[in-house]
Amino acid sequence: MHVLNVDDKQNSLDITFYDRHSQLIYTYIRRQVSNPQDAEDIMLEVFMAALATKNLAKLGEEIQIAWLQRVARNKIIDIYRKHSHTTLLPLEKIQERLDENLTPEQHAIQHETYKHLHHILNKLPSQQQQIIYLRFVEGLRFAEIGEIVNKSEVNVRSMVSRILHRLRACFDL
Amino acid sequence: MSSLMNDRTPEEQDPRNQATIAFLRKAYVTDEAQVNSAKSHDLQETEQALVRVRERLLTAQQERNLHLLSSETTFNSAGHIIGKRPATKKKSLVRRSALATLVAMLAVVFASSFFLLHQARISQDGSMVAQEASNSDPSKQAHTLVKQFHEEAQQWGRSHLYLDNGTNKTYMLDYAYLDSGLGQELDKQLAAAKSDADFKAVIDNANNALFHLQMFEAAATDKAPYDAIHQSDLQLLKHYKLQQGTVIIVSTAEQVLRLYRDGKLLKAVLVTTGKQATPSLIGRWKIEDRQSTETFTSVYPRGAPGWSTDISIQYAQSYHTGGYSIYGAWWRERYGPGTQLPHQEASNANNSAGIGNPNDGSTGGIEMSPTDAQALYDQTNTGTPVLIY
Repeated sequence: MHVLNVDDKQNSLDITFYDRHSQLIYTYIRRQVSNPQDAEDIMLEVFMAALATKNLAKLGEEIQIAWLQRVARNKIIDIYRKHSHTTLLPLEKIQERLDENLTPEQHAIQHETYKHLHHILNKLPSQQQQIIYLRFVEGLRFAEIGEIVNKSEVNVRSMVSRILHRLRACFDL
Repeated sequence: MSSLMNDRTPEEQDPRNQATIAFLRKAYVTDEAQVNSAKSHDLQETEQALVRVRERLLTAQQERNLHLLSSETTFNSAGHIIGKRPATKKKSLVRRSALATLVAMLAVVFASSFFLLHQARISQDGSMVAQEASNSDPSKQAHTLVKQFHEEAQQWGRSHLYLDNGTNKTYMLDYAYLDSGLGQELDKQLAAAKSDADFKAVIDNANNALFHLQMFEAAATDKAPYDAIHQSDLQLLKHYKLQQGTVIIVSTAEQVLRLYRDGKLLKAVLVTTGKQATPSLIGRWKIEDRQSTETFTSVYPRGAPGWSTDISIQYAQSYHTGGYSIYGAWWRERYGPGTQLPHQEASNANNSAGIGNPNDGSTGGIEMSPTDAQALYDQTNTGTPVLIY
């Protein structure tokens, strides 16, 4: 009987903490992680860590949120570092995917241009490809990408600008 | 969201680079399913994900507690010099009570997930509030709803502040829903309402306002590219039963206009909507008047704030009386996220508070490049519905 009481108390406290903050943290994670399964796993890890941290309950709400976001952010970085290898799709596959929802402007672009783009991309060093992937496929911020690839925000920013500039040349041919 | 907008480099915003970026978005291996789900990521899905994590969390906590309990029992039985039988009996008792807790907790989770799903379903079509208060009198109900709308708009605005790096000023991105926009309009309607019919009209408007706000919030956090179909657009089309025919949808959260025909996306263009003092009008409108070239004359007297010299605009389609139009604004270099707020563009620009200033949002119009305005003009007609959210 005694055991039951302790259990109940502990769980109800725990789960209200989750209910209070889960929406906010999930949105935060989901903005940076496109795979919903990964996002849910990170959520679970973050809140398990939170519930296991004794003094967290005594802190103010803002600090609790900051704590949760910091832990989430570290887990997100971990995930991206783990799958650091990006694979460029074959040109035919990319065109197939582009055809799915094509605007008229994109339609007008010649196959030759795509071929050229693909060729340049293919020759980029793998880290630059990873940066492109994180920026344009995952939609991360420069500061976040910087943490993942161990470079400064400014550095990543100018790299992306340079690459875009170089790739645009394909369209001016 | 806010930082993402700040985060874009000039190269990324350059229209000439959009084709390259569209290519890059599709160039890498991702799980097709994830990309699709990121696009259709909506309120209901979030609720479901949260319920799933909640269950996993509870189960994980239970396992941890069970583990702790059994190690405690071992310690106890070792501490006391008693025979093996009482010790195992105690252990199984503890296990049993813990199991009972587990069953009870699972039942709670099951019930609460139903509750959450139910809630998610109701809030999807935005009619939750109407059902809740359907028994009270219309005046009270109208006041409650308008208040709720103000609170929701304020709360979202405060939690999604946009920081301008240059000036260190912050802006609430949903300002079209706040005091200078829809919030004020609802207050006016409420103050003027006398009969039950008036209050019922306010209730309808407030419900639609809440629905638009919900869609705005969804669009603001949607990761889908601006030129892809958005779930929030589809929900708006469904809400107004406009799945057939041509519809213009303007997302102020993303500063994008998307043109739909029979529920399919025809065109997406970056736009600049009304600045903070004069937001574009949130709501459902239709094209009332069309002019391929038109001269805009300021409604303010010369010298008053808001006054501007006459200006020629291209392919103007009016969506509301009072000069609220969709048109080509040749005086801008950039359109899209951030351009609705104070920013620096051409050095010799007209910095007036009226129309023609490229360094701030519009005076309530939906501005875009003349080429885009012409293409849009060719696809639409008088009477085409315009949904602004």
